Amino acid sequence: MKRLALCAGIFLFLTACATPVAKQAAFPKMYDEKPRSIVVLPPANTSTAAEASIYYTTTIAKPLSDQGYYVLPIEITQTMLQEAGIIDGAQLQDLDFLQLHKLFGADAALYVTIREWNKSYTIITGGLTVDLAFNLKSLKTGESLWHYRNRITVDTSGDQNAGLVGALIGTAIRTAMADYVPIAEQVNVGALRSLPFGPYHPQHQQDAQMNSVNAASAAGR
Amino acid sequence: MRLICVLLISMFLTSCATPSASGFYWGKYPQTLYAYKKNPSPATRMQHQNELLRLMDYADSRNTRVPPGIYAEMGKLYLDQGDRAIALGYFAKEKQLYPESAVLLDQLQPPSASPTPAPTSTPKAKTQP
Repeated sequence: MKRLALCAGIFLFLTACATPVAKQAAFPKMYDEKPRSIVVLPPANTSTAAEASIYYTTTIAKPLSDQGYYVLPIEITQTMLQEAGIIDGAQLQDLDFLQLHKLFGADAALYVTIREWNKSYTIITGGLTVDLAFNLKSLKTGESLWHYRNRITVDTSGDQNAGLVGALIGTAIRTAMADYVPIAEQVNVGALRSLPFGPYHPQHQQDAQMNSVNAASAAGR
Repeated sequence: MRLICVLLISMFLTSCATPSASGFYWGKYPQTLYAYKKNPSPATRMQHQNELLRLMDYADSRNTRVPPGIYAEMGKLYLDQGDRAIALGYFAKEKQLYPESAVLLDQLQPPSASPTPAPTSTPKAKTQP
């Protein structure tokens, strides 16, 4: 019984249910600009895990395109920026959005900040935490079109939960770094649920009233 | 009880086994890319390249779209190995399917006003007095 309650708790947590707001009310500029293509910039990594950026970037193309957008090939855009000396997203703060538009031809750029990517211990629990802040900026106006913050902690304390964590991680190799990737994927999915659908999605421009935006998460940049 | 729990969570997590609402099928792409990034070697690279091929075959056989960036990424793998012609073929496919990629991909081609460096037909000027 206890386990079912725990399970239900986690499921509710995953499906993030709190004060839903309609997409258009939260992000009206998405509906004005209707971006088609998105370039994913190297994340700004403020966590303590130096490697987090490399692994994180393998997780984002799929959910972002599933949301209906053309995602520029990250393996190419990333290499181009690397060759220009840009490895961490923090170095992009000063770069003019028009320059980015000229370079990539994308309508918008996704800035991701990796705020946490670590083990966390409190007196009662130990867990893995991934905390990401997303900011989608128009490369035509420089304005923020969509922003969201999402944080998930998976409890790893005690043997009792080993099965649960195992289920979450699935067949992934159980090294320390691999454990974070499936969590990051869930953070992505949870956040992107609030992103208005793009032109490759059948419900493009029909989701304005969809209540899938958590107001608090949308406020926390 | 445990079973219900695992089922519930895995249902939530494995929603990627079939094409998404946008019609894209990504297969094991995130996993093979992750393996390649984590441990770059000819073997992991080959594995990822095979997965890219499989995604193309999947889309072809079901008449769906190859996901964004897959052709381009394949092109880049060939470009890095020096197989320029094959690379450009994949870039052309990406551009045809997704014109949004043109600005980016055109930069990866040489500014090809002259298709191939022609076998020097210029030094004729010498005969002038």
